[in-house]
Amino acid sequence: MSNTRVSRRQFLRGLAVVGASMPLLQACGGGEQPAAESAESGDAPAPSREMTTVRYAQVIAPLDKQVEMFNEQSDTVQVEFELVPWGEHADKLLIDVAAGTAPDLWFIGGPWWIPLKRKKVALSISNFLDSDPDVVIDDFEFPADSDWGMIDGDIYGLPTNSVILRGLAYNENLFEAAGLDLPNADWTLADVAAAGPQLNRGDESYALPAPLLAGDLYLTTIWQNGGQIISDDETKCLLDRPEAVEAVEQLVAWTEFSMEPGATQALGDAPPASGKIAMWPMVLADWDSWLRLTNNDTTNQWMTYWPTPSNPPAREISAGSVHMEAIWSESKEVDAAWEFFIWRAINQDSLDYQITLFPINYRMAETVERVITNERQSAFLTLHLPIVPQSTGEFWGPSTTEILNAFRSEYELAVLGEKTAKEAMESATVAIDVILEDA
Amino acid sequence: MSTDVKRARSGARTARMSRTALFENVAGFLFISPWIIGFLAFEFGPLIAAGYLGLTKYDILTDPRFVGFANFDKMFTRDPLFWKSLGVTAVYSLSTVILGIILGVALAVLLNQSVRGLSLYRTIFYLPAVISGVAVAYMWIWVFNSEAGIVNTLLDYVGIDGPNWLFSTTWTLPAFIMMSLWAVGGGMVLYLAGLQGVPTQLYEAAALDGAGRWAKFQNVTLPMISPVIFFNFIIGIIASFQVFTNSFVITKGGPANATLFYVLYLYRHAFENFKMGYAAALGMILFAIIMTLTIISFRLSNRLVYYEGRIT
Repeated sequence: MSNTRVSRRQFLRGLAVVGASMPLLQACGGGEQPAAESAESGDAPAPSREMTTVRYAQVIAPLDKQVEMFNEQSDTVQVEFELVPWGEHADKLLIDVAAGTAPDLWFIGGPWWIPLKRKKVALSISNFLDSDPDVVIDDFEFPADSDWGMIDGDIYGLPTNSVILRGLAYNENLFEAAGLDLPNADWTLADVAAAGPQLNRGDESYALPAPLLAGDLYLTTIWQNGGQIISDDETKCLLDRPEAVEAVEQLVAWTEFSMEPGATQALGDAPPASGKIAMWPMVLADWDSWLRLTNNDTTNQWMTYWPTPSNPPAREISAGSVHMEAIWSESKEVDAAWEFFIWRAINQDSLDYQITLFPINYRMAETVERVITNERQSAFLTLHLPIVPQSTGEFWGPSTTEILNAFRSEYELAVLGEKTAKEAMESATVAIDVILEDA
Repeated sequence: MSTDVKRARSGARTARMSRTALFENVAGFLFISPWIIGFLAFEFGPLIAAGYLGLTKYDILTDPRFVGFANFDKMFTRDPLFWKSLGVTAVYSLSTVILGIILGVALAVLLNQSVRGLSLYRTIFYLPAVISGVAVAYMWIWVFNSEAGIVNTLLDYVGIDGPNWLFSTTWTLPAFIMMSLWAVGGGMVLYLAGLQGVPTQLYEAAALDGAGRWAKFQNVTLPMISPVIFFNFIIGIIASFQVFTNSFVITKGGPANATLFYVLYLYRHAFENFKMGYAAALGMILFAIIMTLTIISFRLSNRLVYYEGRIT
């Protein structure tokens, strides 16, 4: 046995060679997964048929149970659930698509859907829908064959849940304490403005949370007042027209009796659960969020439709955040992806589970009736059904987020009193026209 | 050429190319190869790609289309938010770098004294530099809350009605500048190291000349630590122009674009607006700005920075 000693220099040199080689060796090793996971399954029998695996990206964590349900009953397709945070899901999908590594199936928030649809990132599913004997198109709550999901007569995606519409939540105790009648479906924005000042009663009661947090209400209000964001041919911004300006003025007027921006935070992570806010915008029928925002439905609050600018409104329409699901147009496993896609959308077991969380898009009324035993939850979930037919997805134009940001920054100046609503909308129009030129 | 000279050159070359030297060179390059590969793949490569993409219209989802200097033309002539974001970032950068240096040096001087528990103080001041940016951003939301925030509560104790820091076009940027000072401990550690390297005999000589505390600080301390100040200045300029996290998490650039920092604006175009070509052009302008400021700083450093032992 030789007694060769390795000098420190030789050792370091060897270490450098090994260290530098590692990434190269790993890169050359390919993407095969170790067999350890399959070994963990113990003595389970080998599947008799070949399994196809598809990837499904979703932002709603509890939906992994649907994937489990599907995987248990399918002997040909296995779905891998990929949970993505809401705040990053669109960015991540965009990068994955550009890199050619997008999931076979994905969830996408409403504002990002239109650009993706127009660029055909989603697969046309018209043929699948037509040839699937289990699908009844008319049973989709939000029409599957609406403009929102279609281009040139083809359907490219399905709403992941029923259209999400805004309603007015109100605290009955605070209205009674102020000696006011409860809001109802006939209320206009002027009724809110009239009740607002009386609902501000020191630290006991606040009329409304900050108007900067009003989410997508501007669009609904502008449309209902007969206004438009952009022209039909998408070449001109129309926010400086009187109908749009008037609608924005009505929303801005609420700042007189709304909480200061940021002040709601002092009431906790779910401010309405404090029982101190008299009115607040809330998604109609999202029971899961409702429980969180109302301290498990213990704060004596209820919902009505979002007030219109006038009664009747100039235009019978509501804007909703219609989140979509679609199959990636470059997916290598289109048939397998479709199998899960449509199972999740229309299978009754799947629907029965999902309705316990939030609205569904397929046979919602029937499913609520057979699954939901809590009367209040049942009434809540079906509250928005009458206005679904007059609703559409939130659409701010061909460069949605850019136009929305241009609008918001000017709207904020109006809310902060640094510009009139008219001045703000005129500035927004100039900025958006530049965006449209380039779109 | 004489034979002696030829032989001498040949000998020198042989010495340079000896096996030991060769092996050591190879080993050295292998040791730094992960960094070199990383630099080429993740920094130099993207820089070149951005240079090209800046001349295209590219939505990520379809192939880039060459448009020449159209992105830059739009940026300089028709995009008010470009100038807005540049202005917001410049004000922030100037304020944070200057205040950061003043506060960092002041803290370092304080912590360079012989007092009990010095290590603890140093650790406390340095701690913010190692805490996650997003977690800190959420903390600041509470600190600057108009109703329940600690800043307005303290102001209230002295009879001042604090502003709505994060929802005011006047006060949001100052709030962000204050937030930046939270991480001043990172620079402080370097100043402290610089202070401890100042030879004591210089202070003794200054004392013999009748210099007081301020004169010693001005004529001995500052010149001696000027290379460290200069280093922090350059790093500070580069970092402050790339500020992103706080505005992304706390205000999303609002209210009314009051905190629309340059990189947030770039990010919006790249990942929200499907305009990667325009974002790449914005990136190239940012690169040019930082490069220009750095070159100017180095030129000025010849007059303002004292390097011990340098022959001028």
